[in-house]
Amino acid sequence: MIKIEHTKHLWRAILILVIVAVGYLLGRLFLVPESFGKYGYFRGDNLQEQMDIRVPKHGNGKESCGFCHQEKVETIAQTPHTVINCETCHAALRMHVEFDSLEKFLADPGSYEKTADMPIHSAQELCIKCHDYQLAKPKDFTTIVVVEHLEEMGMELGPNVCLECHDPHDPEM
Amino acid sequence: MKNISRRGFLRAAMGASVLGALSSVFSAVLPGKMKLALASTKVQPEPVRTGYNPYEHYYSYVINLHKCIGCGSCVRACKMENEVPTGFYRTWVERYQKGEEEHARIDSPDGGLYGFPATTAGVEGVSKAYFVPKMCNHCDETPCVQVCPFGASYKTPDGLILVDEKRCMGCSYCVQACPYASRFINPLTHTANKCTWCYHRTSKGLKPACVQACPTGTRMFGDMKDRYDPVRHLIEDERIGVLQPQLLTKPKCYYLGLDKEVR
Amino acid sequence: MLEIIGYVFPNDIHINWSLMIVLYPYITGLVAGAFVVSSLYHVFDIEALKPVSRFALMASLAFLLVATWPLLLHLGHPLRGINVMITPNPTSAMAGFGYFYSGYMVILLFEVWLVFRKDIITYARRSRGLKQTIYKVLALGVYDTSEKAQAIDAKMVKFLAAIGIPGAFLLHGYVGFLFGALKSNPWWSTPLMPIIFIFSAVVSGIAALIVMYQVAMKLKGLVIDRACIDMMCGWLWMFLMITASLELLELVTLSYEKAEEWEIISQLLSGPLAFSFLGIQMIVGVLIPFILLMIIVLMKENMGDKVANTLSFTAASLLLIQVFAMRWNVVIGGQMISKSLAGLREAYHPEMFGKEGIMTAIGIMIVPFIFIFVAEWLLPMFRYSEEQTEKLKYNSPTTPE
Repeated sequence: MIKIEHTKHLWRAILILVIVAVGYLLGRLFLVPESFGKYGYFRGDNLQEQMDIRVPKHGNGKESCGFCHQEKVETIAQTPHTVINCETCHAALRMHVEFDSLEKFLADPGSYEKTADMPIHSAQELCIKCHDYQLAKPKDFTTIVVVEHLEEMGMELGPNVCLECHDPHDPEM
Repeated sequence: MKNISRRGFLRAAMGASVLGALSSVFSAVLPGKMKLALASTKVQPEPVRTGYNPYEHYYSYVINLHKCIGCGSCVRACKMENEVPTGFYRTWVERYQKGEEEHARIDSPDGGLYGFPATTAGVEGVSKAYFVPKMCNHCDETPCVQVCPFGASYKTPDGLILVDEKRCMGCSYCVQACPYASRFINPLTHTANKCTWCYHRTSKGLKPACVQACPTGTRMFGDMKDRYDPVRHLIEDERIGVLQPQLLTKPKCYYLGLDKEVR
Repeated sequence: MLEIIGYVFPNDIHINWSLMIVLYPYITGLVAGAFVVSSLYHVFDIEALKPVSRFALMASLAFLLVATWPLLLHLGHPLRGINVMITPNPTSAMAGFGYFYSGYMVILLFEVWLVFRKDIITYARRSRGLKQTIYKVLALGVYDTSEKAQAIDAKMVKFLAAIGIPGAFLLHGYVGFLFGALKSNPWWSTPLMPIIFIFSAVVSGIAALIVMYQVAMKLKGLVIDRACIDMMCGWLWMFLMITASLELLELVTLSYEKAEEWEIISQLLSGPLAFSFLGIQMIVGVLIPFILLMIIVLMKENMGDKVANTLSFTAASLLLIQVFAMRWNVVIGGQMISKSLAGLREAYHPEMFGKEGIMTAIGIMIVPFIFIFVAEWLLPMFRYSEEQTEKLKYNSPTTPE
């Protein structure tokens, strides 16, 4: 039996609590994001947002470059450097050809024009990063102790020194 | 008589407010639950965009440690592609040099961004050395999604772990929970950031920037739901390892040639 | 700032959980501890604690009111924090915060209101102006102070004081679970963590009350009840022994099992954390208060009031520092270990100014005392001590206290 004598103050307090609780539950109804729970315990709209988070800076490898630079791609295809993506030594595609959608670009690369010169790295650091000898590098990868190699050749380690003898698009001597 | 009617009125009032509270609970809690139940049943919601259905893919990543030359092209490509702030890394490369001491000497100068200086300084009698590229493992049993307070970090139907930057409050709990230190708090957005396997590229059928940049074929990206995917066959046929397997996070980055020294 | 020993993962060089996250469990610990003291009186009828019971409740509320501030200052997007109450992730300990905090707040507010209700009504009738308006609002329009109503209030208070104990333990213990359930960090990962947090919270609560009670009595010129101090010292000593045992047990087990993590943890404890762990947390913080409290408890009959008060004040102050050092060593120490388990960050120096800085921390800790002063102005908490002092004056008019 609920005694109501001398408990008026308790009911008043409980009433305030119930009002707050109901207010919270109703508020929550409005504040849960619309798409929440659609694909899992997260805001479902974010899945699409993440796909569109930014326009890719890099292209689709040699395919994207090959449309305009077919001869270069074919020349390099005869050399060991064919396995490298052009953008790895040069810059990302969008530094050279601006586009606002990679899909549109890939669908019709011809309709896009160069917006800036593609950077050409001639610095010896680029070659050294891959080809300087280190114990940690795999044995089946072509390396050379650069400092000793230059000594043998009677050359100094300076800017673009590798390019004096090697062509990156046809590196084998 | 006054008491009884008062009693009756109060009872009714209590009953009404309890009913009201209960109905609010139901209306507030259930819709979310129903949606969750829907997501996990065979009935799948419509794909997010024409041409790409995340339920038709489940990605994995393979890293062949026999091939990595530590050039750092992947780190540079990722930084460019995802505008990664300086001092933080969505992917990085480590170098291990094992000599006479009990533990290998590990270093990662700027995460390998500028490659590795050719030096074995500080290691006596180096007998074995190799590079190990790392990134978010997009685990199947992630400790990070488990601890995110309100689902700002989540797992997509195609197996990626992502962070909703519009909801994340930057509490760093996920950063603390990741055993691989793949996550960081972006100093500009004050939210959690990490490798996303370039979802903005992979959802278009392209490869992540790091996979594309790798000159030696160390990094490989594949779809486990694609019957003809060579990466999937690699995972199924070759001997592979994962990082910190004792934690049972079930990473989806598989390593070929993983050494016991790797952290 | 970036002094590194060994190999630290590139993303691991930043400490994300700062001084604010050290302060947060410290504050909720004081909340839980003060509440336990009050409940020892209200539920377990330990009469000796009557002089501090009301003050303990108010102190618990005072610290509860600022408990969210360190969290909000730490978050990258504090306003999004409300999402823990909108779409909480059931697998995340942190998601429990909203519910534990509001649930405990409800219990505590209800209990404080019921304990002071008779006073509120009395003052509502006696006062005028602004004060009277405040009292009238607090009374919720009901002015029933009959015997029956007071009996019902007393029963409700007992009930609330009882369920408030698990409520307070949840509010503070979930933080321990938050750390203890992370398998990525071996310094944190242990099932003992929530228990260590709770027991050291009670230590900090009792110690804070010993200190604040003595200061309050001195400020108001009232007598310090010796029986109350003795009782608090007894409980404090016992909880200190349990806390210290648990903290040491974790360490001993780690060093005995010598699993992968012991290598880096032993480097941490003998290196960057040596001073704050061994020096402050263990020697200054446990050994010395243990001895002081042992003297107070075992030599209770032969000790004068002044000596007991001084020794207990010293021991309690040292323990307040110890509990803070323990929080620091857990939160900051854990982040000094890289996830590689092969390297350490040397030291963390919180900034002086800035939203997660030392001055902010001091500012947050001052606010509860402002609240206590306001509470004293509105609802005096020490009327029992005032009566005791009056009785003493009448009984021995020539003996100054």
